[in-house]
Amino acid sequence: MQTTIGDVKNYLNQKITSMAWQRIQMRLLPEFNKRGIFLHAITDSMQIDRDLMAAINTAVNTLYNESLPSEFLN
Amino acid sequence: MSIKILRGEFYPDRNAYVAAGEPAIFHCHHYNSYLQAVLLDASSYIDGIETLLADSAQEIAHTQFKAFYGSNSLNEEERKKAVEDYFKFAGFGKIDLKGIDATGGVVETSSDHYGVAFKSKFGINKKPVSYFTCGYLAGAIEAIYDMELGSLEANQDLCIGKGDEISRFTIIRSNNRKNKLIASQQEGNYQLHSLIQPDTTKVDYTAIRQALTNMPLEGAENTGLIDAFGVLLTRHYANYYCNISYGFLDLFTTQMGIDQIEIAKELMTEAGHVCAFNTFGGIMQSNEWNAMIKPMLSSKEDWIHGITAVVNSFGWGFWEIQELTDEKIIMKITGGYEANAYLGRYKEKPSIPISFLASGGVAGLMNLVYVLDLPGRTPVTLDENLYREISNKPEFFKAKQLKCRALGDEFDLIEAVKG
Repeated sequence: MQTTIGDVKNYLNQKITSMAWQRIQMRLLPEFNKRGIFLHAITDSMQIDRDLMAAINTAVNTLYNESLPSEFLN
Repeated sequence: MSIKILRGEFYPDRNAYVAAGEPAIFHCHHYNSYLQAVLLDASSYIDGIETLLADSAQEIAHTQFKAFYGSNSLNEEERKKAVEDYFKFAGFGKIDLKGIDATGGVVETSSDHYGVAFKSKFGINKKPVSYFTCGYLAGAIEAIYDMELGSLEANQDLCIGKGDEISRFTIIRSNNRKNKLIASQQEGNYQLHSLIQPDTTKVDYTAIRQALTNMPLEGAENTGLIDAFGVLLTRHYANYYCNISYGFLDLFTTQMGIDQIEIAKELMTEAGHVCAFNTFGGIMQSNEWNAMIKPMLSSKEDWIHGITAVVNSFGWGFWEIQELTDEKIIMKITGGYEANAYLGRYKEKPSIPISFLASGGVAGLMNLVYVLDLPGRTPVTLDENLYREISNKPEFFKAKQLKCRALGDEFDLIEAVKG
């Protein structure tokens, strides 16, 4: 089953820190936008493709020295 | 008589510290570093953010020291001393300008607030982080030598924030500047008001403000840092926060569109919340709080009044509680520094309410008292785990700005509601 925006958002804000998801969004905004995902219209059920998930993981690593769980990345 | 050092004074009728025309406010290293970090999050795709961070400081330092030297006749050495001394007084660190002349030079320091702050909050950074210090040095040195704003620029190679022993800044003539710098708006559109004592609490607002505005909070002699209440405090420039925040909004909306502005608003408000959690939380556990304020407190509502009274000594304008229950607060802010600065700088109204720090701060004080239950749990260690714990609770307070002076209202009004 493909990982959704809601899965990643909940994981980051609950396990990493408050507003971690928002910082990732800010950091990767062009990546979201080029997939047709715009923040004013974003929903938790939207799915995240493999490349975007890899970019999110890199940003999480850069900002928080953490990695997303493997089930999100496989 | 010539005054050789710059300090400024507190103006009770506007709840503001002003030094040579420039409003100064208290903020902690958590806010300083978090706000800069979230702005830099967009720097890979928005041009001009790093420049904005340095230029804003340069505009303010130049304006301030030009005003100071204009009313005080000082020689070159005395001017340099005033710049070094104010940097230390404000908690920005220690600098030595002896190697500087009108063509620039090199400044090295083993104590720089932004470098120390970033390292403390985020660990080792990959790039230098002291954009503020770059701008401060360039602007102040221009003023020392009666040069035009924008004549110099500063670059940083070594940085405490990226693990170097020292921070090093090279100041050079600016020959290829693309952007025009603008003098600081100084006090902007400030409001006169008076401190009102609420009749629902025994917390003595006037006594607390009187005591705190007279506390000797200034950088230590050896480090130039203000280590107080468990944080590194600064007597920072109100206009610096505002000009980097609103300048960022301009860059963001120009390049990414207005529709996605909510993310910027959320993160700048979060910076205020982080500030409240750490600074208000630290103050509410301090010796000063326990000795002076705690004896006045008999309920959680009193704790909210106590910290609101403290806020009225920060230079943030007048904070008055309009409504308070364990589920909601409405805070009226008169002469808030965010609106003062916005109205002093911009002709156009903003597209959204702009009191981000105040919004985060109001929610933050409710979360400390009602969600964390600081009155019942103190002493607690205010760390990332605790912050995550309270922010994930369903009763976590969130803020909304109901009125905004920059949008034409008479004052700012912030509501924070549970859940």
